Amino acid sequence: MRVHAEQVSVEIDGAHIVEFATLTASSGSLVGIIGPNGSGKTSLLKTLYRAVRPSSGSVWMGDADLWRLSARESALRASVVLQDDSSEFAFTVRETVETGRVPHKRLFERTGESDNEAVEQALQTAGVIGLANRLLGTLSGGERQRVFIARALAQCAPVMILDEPTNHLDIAAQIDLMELLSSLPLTVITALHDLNLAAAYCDQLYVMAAGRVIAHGPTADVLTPTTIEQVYGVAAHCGINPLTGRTAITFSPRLPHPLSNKNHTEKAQP
Amino acid sequence: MLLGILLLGVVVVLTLSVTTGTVAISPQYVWSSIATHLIGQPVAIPAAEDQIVWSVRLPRTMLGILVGAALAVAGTVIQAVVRNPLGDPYLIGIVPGAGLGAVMVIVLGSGALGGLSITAAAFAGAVIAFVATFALGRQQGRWPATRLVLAGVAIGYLISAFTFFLQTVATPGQLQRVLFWTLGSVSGATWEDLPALAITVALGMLWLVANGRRLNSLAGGSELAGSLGINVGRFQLQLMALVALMTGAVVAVVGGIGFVGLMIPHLARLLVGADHRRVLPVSLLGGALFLPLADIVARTVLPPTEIPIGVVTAAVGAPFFIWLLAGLGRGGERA
Repeated sequence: MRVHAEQVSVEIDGAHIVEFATLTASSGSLVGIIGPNGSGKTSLLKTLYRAVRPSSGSVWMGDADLWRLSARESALRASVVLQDDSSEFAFTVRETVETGRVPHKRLFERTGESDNEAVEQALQTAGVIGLANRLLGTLSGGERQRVFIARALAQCAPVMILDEPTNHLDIAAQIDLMELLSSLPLTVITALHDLNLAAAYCDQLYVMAAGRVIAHGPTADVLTPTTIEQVYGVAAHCGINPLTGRTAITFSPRLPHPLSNKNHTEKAQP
Repeated sequence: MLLGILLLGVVVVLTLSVTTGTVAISPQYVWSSIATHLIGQPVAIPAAEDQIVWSVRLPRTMLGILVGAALAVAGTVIQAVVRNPLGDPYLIGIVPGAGLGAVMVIVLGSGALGGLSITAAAFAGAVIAFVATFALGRQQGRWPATRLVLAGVAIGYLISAFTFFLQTVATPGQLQRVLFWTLGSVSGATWEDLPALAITVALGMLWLVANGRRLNSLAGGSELAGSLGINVGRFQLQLMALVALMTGAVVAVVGGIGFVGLMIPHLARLLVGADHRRVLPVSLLGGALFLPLADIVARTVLPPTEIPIGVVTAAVGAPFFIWLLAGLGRGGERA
């Protein structure tokens, strides 16, 4: 399912958090949103899963205007993985994943065969079937994140939205997670901090700074030393990871340059 | 299986509760008296015993069962809504509100409140405190857990200030009544107390169990619950209104009985995990088992004086709870 945000702005208590952001994720693609802290990534995502209503602009899920759908209808279109949200209470992995079936159920409707199948399938795909009876609190961060992805999968929605899913994960768990995301036959939109993960896995990238989308397009076109220096204020070198053949980026403090204070477009590559 | 055991436990405690008292009555007499009144079996026991069973001890025991069930279920729901293991009817202002209503009638007299009875004033106080807590805890159409807890605590303290003030101007006799109200009692129960409470608990429970999966998804926070298609603000309001109705009705009749709403849900979770589809029925029966048991203790430990049931629930419940916490809940896997 295609996701399209058109000229979306978010204003909270008079502060312009997101300004006129336009984003398109074609069906089945993996789209990354990158940008420094406070650039509006999370707020833009929130407008895609109805947590924040845009002050202007519109969001389309397929051919439906997201904000004209009911909460339930929108939940059947898009699932969400938030930053670690485990609660005080000791839910098992399976119970957690089962909540993904909530939008498919009416009040007093019992769990059916299709629910059990969806949950099994989700546990399987996310690679946590062996953990099904474990308590959420006893898992590692990477395992827990996979459980939340399994819950989103159990929702059987064609779109999945994630907010920095690799945060606090060790390198192996980060790679596992991105491999999993890129293998899903869904439209996946994720905010990411790690530019190398974005470079290696995303089909399209949106770069945000100060609430605006300042660059977007195929990952290789967007992730240039110039853009990185402009957005993050660090020098970058884009090379090739000899192990994978994908783009690898290395960073250093901004190189001393007589004009570099204002003129970000100066050549940053040594 | 577990539910069956608990149900059996409730029946056993009910029998025990009705047999126990100044006049001991055999279990046979108890059940034949019940049979007489329920299915019209001819009277087979002395009228005095029948009178004690049917008019005094059975309504009292039934009230205890209903109160325990209602408080335990309410505690479970409050803990889910505020996402806080310390959630109970005290935390969101309901019990302090009921307390103020009751104390006003006791100290100022029913006339000062337009002829309201203690029960009516306590129920009104509970509802007003709940509405105030919810009005204060609201933010952008939802009730964020922390804000709701803070609102409940603030309203609770404000109400308590008035309650304490009234106590300082009360006579010693009034103070004694206030103390007993504050710690709760199921004595003096009549059959008239029961139907409204029973219907509230039964219907509320049915609706809650049907919403078990949605309650589970609240644990992930309101944003996540919203992404699962739940109208979070409306759901929270429905849940808490139900809780206010249930606990308000209970507290108005029996006074403040602490610890049941806090402890029983945790016991239930230690037994069956966090899934509300299992926790709710286990809590219900756990509360229905525990409260009549505490009442038995309350009226037998220091005869002929009855001690307030709130003293027993805390004194018996807290150590048990500590023991459970120390010993259980460490395993990482549950079958």
